[in-house]
Amino acid sequence: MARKARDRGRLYKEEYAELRDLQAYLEDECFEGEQTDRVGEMHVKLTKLSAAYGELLDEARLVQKVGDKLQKKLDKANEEITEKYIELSELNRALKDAKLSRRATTITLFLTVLLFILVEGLIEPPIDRWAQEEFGEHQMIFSMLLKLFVALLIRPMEKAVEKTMDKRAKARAEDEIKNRQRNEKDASPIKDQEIKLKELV
Amino acid sequence: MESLILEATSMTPSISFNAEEGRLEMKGRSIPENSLEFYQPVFEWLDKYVESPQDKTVVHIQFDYFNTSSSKCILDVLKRIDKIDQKGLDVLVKWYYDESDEDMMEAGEDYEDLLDAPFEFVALEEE
Repeated sequence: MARKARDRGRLYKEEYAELRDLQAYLEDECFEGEQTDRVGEMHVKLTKLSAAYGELLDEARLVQKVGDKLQKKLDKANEEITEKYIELSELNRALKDAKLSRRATTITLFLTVLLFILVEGLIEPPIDRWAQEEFGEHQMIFSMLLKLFVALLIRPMEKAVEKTMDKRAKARAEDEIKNRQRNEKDASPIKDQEIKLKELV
Repeated sequence: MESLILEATSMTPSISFNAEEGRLEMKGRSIPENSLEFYQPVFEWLDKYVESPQDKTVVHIQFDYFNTSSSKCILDVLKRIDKIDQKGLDVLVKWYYDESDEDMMEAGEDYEDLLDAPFEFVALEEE
C-alpha cells in the first residue's frame, strides 16, 4: 500500500526505524540469485511480515491519534458541562433566595401588623398613662420613640425570619438528597433481582 | 447485488450501500459496544462488491463522532475501498465534516495518509 504520509514516524519513531532497517535488509541483493528453498521461503515470509508490521504501525498511530482527539472532545464537553452546572447552581441559588426573601417579607409584614396591634392595643395605653404621670407634656415624644423602636425592629426581624427559613430549606434539601441516595441504594439489589428474574423467564 | 441498508441508532451510523449506483454512504455516530459485530456485515458486503465494482464508486462519509475501535473498523472499510482504486477503477471518498469540527477533518486526513484512494473534504455549515 503506497502511502502519502506527511508526518509518519513522529509517533513510533523507533519502530518505524526498525522496520526500515528490516525492509532494507530484505531488499538486499544477497537474497537475489541462488539460495536454498528454506532461505527463499523465509525471505518471502519476512517480507510479508514486515509489510504487515508496517500496516499495524500505521493503524496503531491512527487509532492513537483518534483516541487523543476523542479525549480532547470529552475534556471540552466536560468543561462545558461544569460551566453550565455552575451557572445553573448560581441561578438556582438566586431563585431560591428570591423566593425565600419574598416569603420572609410577607411573614415580617404580618408580624409587624401584629406588633403594632399589640403595641397600640395593649402596651401603649399603660405606658401612656405612666408617661403622662412621669413626663407630663413630653409624653408625646416618649410615645413616638416607642413607635420608632417598633419600626426599627422590622428589618432585624425580617433578617431573622429569612435566616430561619434558609436553614429550614437547606435542611429539607439535605434530607431529600439523603433519602434519594438511600432509595437508590435500596433499589439497586431489586433491579438486579428483576433482571435475573427476567433472564430466568 | 442487493443494497445494504442499516438504520442509524444512537450508537451506530446509518449505512446505505447501493451497488448498482456505486454509491456508498455512512452517516452518524459510531460508538457501538462491539464495533466488529456491527461492521462485520459491512465488510462482507464490501468484499463482494470489490469483486465486481462499478466503474465509478463514490463513498460518502459523514461521522459526528466515533470511538477508537470504530476508527479501526472505518480504516478496514476504507482499505476495501482502496482495493477498487488499486484495480484502476474510479473511486472517490467524500469526507464530510462540521465546519467547526477540526478534529473530524483531521481524522479524515489521517485516513487519507494511509490510503491511495483520493479524498475530497466537504465542510458542512452549522445549522
